[in-house]
Amino acid sequence: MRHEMTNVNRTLSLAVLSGKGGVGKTNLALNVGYALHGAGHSLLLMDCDLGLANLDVLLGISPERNLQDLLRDGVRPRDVVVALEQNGLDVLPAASGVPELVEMDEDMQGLLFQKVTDLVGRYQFLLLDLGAGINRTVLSFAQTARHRLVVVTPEPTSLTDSYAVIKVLATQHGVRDFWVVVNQAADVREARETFKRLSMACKNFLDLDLTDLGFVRQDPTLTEAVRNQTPLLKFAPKSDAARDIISLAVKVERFRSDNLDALAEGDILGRLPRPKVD
Amino acid sequence: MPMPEKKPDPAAGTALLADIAALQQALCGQYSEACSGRNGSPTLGVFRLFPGVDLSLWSRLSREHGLSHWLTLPLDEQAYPHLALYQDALERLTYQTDHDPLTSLANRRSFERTLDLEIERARRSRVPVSLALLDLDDFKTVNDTHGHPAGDLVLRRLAEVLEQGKRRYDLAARIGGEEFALVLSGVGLVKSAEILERILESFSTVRFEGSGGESFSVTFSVGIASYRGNVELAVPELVSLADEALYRAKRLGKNRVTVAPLPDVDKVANEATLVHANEKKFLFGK
Repeated sequence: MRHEMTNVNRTLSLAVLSGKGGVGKTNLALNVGYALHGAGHSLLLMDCDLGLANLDVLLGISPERNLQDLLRDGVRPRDVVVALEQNGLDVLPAASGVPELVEMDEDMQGLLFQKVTDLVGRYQFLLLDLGAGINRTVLSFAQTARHRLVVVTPEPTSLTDSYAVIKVLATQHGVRDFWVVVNQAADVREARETFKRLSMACKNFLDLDLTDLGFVRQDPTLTEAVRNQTPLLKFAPKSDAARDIISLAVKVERFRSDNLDALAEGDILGRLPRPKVD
Repeated sequence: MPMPEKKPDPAAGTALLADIAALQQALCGQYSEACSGRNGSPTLGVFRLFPGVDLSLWSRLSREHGLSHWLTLPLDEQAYPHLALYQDALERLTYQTDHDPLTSLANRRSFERTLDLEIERARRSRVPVSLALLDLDDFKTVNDTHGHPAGDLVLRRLAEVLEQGKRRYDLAARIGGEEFALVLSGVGLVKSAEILERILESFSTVRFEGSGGESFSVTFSVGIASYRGNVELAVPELVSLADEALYRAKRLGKNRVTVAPLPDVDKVANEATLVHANEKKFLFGK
């Protein structure tokens, strides 16, 4: 029996989310992207922080078109994608200051997904950099990705917001698998403690087992890299934070190589959540 | 009385198809037992005249749209004017069941049906609906002082001001002697109050002439209630909320718009996803 392969390149889609803003989510997504590319993988970074996008700012690029242009007739993904590096490190930028687009309705989401489906299949990894908060767009993108990476910092506010977004996804949308990265940790001990608190709350109240993907230490070099509008992995590849990010990327890479068969069969981006009609 | 045209008219065919579709939808959707055609059930022939549709056009339509099970009756010129009279009468009666004869606004029955539908829409699609109840201030005095013909004119002018001041898709109704209603779909308390303030303002500039030639103006009071679909709510509940607000407007001195408390504001939060205090303690408690 012929089995149709829906995901030829076995693209792993990964949504990066946090609940709270300002936890270094975009930076982490960007640098994990660089690390994976450095290991020889092709990767597309999609800025899904519609309304307040800033992946382009971190990179010092000013793209002429963005993801929102894709909603227009006749605009193709390849008109919008920007190449960051040779051999497949690309970014799909989004626009800032368009409040109407923050909460895309299901028709707009459907149209967008339809347009990017062919594009994303050309890469081995697809990183979705989601916005802060728990609006409809964040929830949709988080569900549709194959896997989720929740970025949390040791601050109580970040813990609560991450927990809130996990709770909504778990209780309302049946999403059960989350990776957690503790960002901006002072040291290993603080990182462990942060993960423990979040994972115990999820275990106790949601009966959910979180996966500890690791941590990234607080590192002043990162601030310098951002000021230089250069990804940390290019700016200071030997820094503490860069080394932590590389070991995160290795785990993401390993997950993909361990699951190639499963990836080949599923869609890169799952079906969009059905709108609730009661 | 117009005579039927001799030439078939394609537009008439379109109208015919639309009517049949509406009828079929009503019969097979809402009253499915009527569609199944069980033996022994009461039987009704449904007639509608379509001037401009002749037998050749009908044959094509019934072939193309699967309507061959419908019966048609070609009418000669003696029968047609007679039946057209009946149809006019029926249309007039149908109009009257839904409209107030004095003001031509929707009547109470039509108002209640619309409000019921709008509440259902709000509940399903979480789009707000607002109800404004209007009552003319001191209308008995108007009638007593200026005469009933002047009073009727006031009612008719208010109906006109409502028709002009509302949005095209809002429903204006006369639901009692001097009581009117507006069903405003898609807007909450704040926007509805703006719309009603505007109408209030506009009506206050209208001058009337009494039986003795004297000039006077009339005001009204408004109570508004809104529903956003977050709880179960029936027509009488929304009406009584708006009614209480209207009563408050009267007590506060009339000639004003007053809004009711939201019936479903505390039901906005989803308990299932709320992060509770005990969960927060777990996350960052000492």
